[in-house]
Amino acid sequence: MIYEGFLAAIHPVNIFNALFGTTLGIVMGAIPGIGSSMTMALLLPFTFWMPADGALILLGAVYCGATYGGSISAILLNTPGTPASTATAFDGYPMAQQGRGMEAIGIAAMSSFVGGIAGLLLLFFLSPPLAEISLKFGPAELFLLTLFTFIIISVTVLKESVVKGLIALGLGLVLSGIGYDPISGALRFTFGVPYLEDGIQLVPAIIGLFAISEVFAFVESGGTISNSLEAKGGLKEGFKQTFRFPETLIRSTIIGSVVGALPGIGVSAANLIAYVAAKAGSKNPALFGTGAPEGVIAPESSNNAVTCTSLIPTLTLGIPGSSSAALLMGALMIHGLIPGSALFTTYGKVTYTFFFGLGLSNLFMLLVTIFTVKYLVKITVVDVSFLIPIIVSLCFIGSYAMRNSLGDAVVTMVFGLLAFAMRKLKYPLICLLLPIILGTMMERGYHQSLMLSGGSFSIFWASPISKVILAVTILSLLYPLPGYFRKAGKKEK
Amino acid sequence: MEIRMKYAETLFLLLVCLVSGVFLVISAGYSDIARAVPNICSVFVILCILFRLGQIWLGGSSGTSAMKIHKRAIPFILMLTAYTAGVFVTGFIIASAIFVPICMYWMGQRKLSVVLSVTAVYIVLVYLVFVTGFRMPLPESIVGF
Repeated sequence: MIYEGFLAAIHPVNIFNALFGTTLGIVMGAIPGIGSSMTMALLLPFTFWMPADGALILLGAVYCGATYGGSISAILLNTPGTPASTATAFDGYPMAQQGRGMEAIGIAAMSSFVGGIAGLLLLFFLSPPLAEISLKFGPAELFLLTLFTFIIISVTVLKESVVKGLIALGLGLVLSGIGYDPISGALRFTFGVPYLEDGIQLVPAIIGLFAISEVFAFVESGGTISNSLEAKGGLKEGFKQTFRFPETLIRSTIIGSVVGALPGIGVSAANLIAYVAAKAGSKNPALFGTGAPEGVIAPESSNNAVTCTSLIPTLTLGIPGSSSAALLMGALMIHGLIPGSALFTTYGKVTYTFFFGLGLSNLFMLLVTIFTVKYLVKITVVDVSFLIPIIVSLCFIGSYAMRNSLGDAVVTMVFGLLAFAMRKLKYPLICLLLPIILGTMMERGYHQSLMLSGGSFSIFWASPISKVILAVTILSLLYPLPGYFRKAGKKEK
Repeated sequence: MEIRMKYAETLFLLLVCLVSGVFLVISAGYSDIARAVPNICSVFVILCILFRLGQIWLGGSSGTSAMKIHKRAIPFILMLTAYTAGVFVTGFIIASAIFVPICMYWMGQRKLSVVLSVTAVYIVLVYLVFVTGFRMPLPESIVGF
């Protein structure tokens, strides 16, 4: 069945589907706000007449391509094309400013390829056992996982002031409370504005926080993005750099794979978690934010691992791990395929064809990069006066297009202004963003856990998984203390 | 334009504190479940802000540094606001056809032929890709064009 799937995947039509889907995904992913789920939603009606394997390969290739494509605009314009590449901008953009844009894209492409293939292998061989493990993550475990994410971000990301990070984190949590309460369904903090009933939307918030605020930086700086007109370090150097940090590559791929397999957390958080973990585990954490290759490897390998492993709960349990996975599930069902064990037995040929198609898509990601990168990086030497209005306008389309709501465009502008102020005052944007991504999940996990335990907090350390997460959280809190004491001791002397 | 960092940060913190305070007050009318987490978060933010204000005013954490805002920033905020309002009134295509060349010119591009060509190519590309290619609706005006 696997061999038949392989033969079907290398059929010229399916190869074309994979190539077209990957290229389209990369282009659409690079436009802020468009991303994989919207492109897949737009393509879905065109796949009705296609055979099931071709349709799945096309949509899967868009998914993989868009996840990677978001990193191109993150690196070259400091404007993440998708939430999946938010953290890529932290070090990718400084590299582009130093004239190392090609190298950064090389790192992103190779890391995405490695992460994608690793996630695919897990999807191929470990789908059923991983699906069972993901089912063991109940509300208490998910609550602890989000809490752990918040704490590790506060402890490791913030060099200057932990308090500033905590304030941004708290503000994000407060804002994530807007809209329907996830448990009782009561409306909160909407001030009578119908738009706010659905809460703060992630995509407009991210576009505002990162893209619009960067446009302000362009307005202030003028000139070109790259300070150096001479390109330093090519694509090959980027490919090589990826393998100079095997620990980061492996760690981030594992993080991406695990997060992907857990329904609900998703790619938006995975890249940030992997970035923070890479910084915490790096021998040179001070280089992060200044153009460290590890800062690109971590988010890129994790986000493409997520794309594949997020399909594990989708295909085995029918629980989509992300909106894009939900669209793929829709495509499966349109073609009469029901998620579950039958996908690996009765319809195994289609499933394995799809898996090989995803592998092809990862390969095409590299090929498309190799052939286009020298043209892409030219954007860093274009005068920003041309780029500013075009980026603003594309941001407008991106934030509007998901729900055809002008309110989303207004949110983008408001968050852009907020980010402008926060950047000036050196408040970390990542700490504001993360609660907007995970806040609702944390709140739901907290209440559901207490309901399950009848109000007892012991549920938060009842299961072995909870104990491990709690132990790691406590260790993360204690880890920086010796350093603080050493610093305090030196000051006293 | 320069503003002393400690004043700028204090103003920002007071605004955040105000938002958290308003949320805290409003949530008093909600059920226990609906207000539990927002209350914890609001109190947490307010406590952190008080601590930070203490650092700024008692510990001199912000020092005498100044926050520089480029002279182009404020007009650009106004342009963004006008563009957003323009999209509401005239629709995306017309608002962009006005905003893009004005912004380029304002940023220092004085070759009108280049500015207008780039604008025209951009608008046509957006229309072809999004409207014709993907049948994606772009924001329309309040009068429906």
